Amino acid sequence: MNLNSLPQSGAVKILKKGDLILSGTLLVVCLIFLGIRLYNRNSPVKFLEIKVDGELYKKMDLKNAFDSLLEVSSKEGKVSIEIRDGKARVVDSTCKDKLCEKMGWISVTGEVITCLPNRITVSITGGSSDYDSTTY
Amino acid sequence: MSKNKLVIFLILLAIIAIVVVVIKSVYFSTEHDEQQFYSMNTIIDIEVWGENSKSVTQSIIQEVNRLSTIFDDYSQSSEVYKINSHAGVDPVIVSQETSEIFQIAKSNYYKTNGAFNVMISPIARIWGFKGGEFRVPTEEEINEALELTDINDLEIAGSTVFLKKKGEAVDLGGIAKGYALDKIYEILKMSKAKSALINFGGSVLTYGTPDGGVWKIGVKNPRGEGISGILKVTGDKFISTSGDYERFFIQDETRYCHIFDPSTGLPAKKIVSITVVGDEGYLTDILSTAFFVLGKESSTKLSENMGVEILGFDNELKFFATKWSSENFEKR
Repeated sequence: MNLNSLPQSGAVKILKKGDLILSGTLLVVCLIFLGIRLYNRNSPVKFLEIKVDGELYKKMDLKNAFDSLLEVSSKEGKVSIEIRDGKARVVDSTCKDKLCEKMGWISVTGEVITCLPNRITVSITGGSSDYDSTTY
Repeated sequence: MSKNKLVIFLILLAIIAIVVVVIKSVYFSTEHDEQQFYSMNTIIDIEVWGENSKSVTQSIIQEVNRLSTIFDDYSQSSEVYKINSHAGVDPVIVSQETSEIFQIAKSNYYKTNGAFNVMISPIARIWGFKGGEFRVPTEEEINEALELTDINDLEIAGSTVFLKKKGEAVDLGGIAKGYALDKIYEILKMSKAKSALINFGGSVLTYGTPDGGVWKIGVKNPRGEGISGILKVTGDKFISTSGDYERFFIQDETRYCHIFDPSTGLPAKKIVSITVVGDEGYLTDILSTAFFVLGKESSTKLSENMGVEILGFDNELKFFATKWSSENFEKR
């Protein structure tokens, strides 16, 4: 808006004490939201994500996940995922190649175990990843 | 007094404007969509930033599913399956697109001195990489299968493709991912997407400029867990990797991998992994397979002629790369 076209008195009238408080409050609220958003974006929390056929099946805080053995089934087959000390691996799979078992432990953001025949992936997300994708 | 108030008013206005712009850029402006799906016998991760990102990812999924009807040699409805099942019988009428892909594949046999051969299927089969159990075949079996890999037996005439001998088979596995990435690239260029990152079963397409200005692509560690380093690329690039860790079996302490040297019929073993960076998906894909077969010296030479950059690990896990690659690769 072009302020020069406003009469001086008009502009002055716009700004009352209430306006100041309102603007100030808005500003603070905005900054709080922004802070939350930015904090979450760089969240140091690492998650273990299990996807079945491209759909999220389970997502858990890796650090606080209990040591456990998870059985995950898809239309194609089944894999067993072991979670221990903030790491995860596939210990058993119904597929032929067993490449998912050979991939070993994952614990670093960006690492993925893919069981292609069973269409199941286990990946580490969140945290602060230092790369965008992996070529293999 | 009133002048002061006007100044305060303007300052407040400016602050609010800045806050609104920042909030908008953080919350709304970078529209973003990501999808994971399975097609063409592999896993595909797509991530698109910018206007209408959701409809862009949907068009990409549709296109890839369309392409799988050409490439999937396991699916009876695919054109490749038809060509293979009519081997030694009669020519098969195919779409113009399929015929073009075969022409590209055939011409790259010659450009790579025979290291890229779409007719390698019979060899892969006897080693158990096409269904069945992994096994080491006899010399006789290998020689017999090699007879069925002659590129001259692949006849492309107009809209027909013909394999002359029974038992011959084509496999577009070494070009399919790259070709699909080329098609995805076309979709992205026509869309309003600002940037995108596609991982097509390990072959990557970077599009546009990400937040940080540089795409950071991890390169799988050929032995052991995680990555061997990070490759930094800017703008639109295709990155394809071939390694002996992808599909393999170990027998009597020897590793047998899924990429075969077409001249011997044995698994290629000059190097353990190679990554190719280029401006065309199909070429980058073809060359990663061919270079894996050719080894370090020949690949380095050929990469210059082909206008691509490479980095890899030889048999002793020693790193080798072209100048650009070593400058942009951060080893772990």
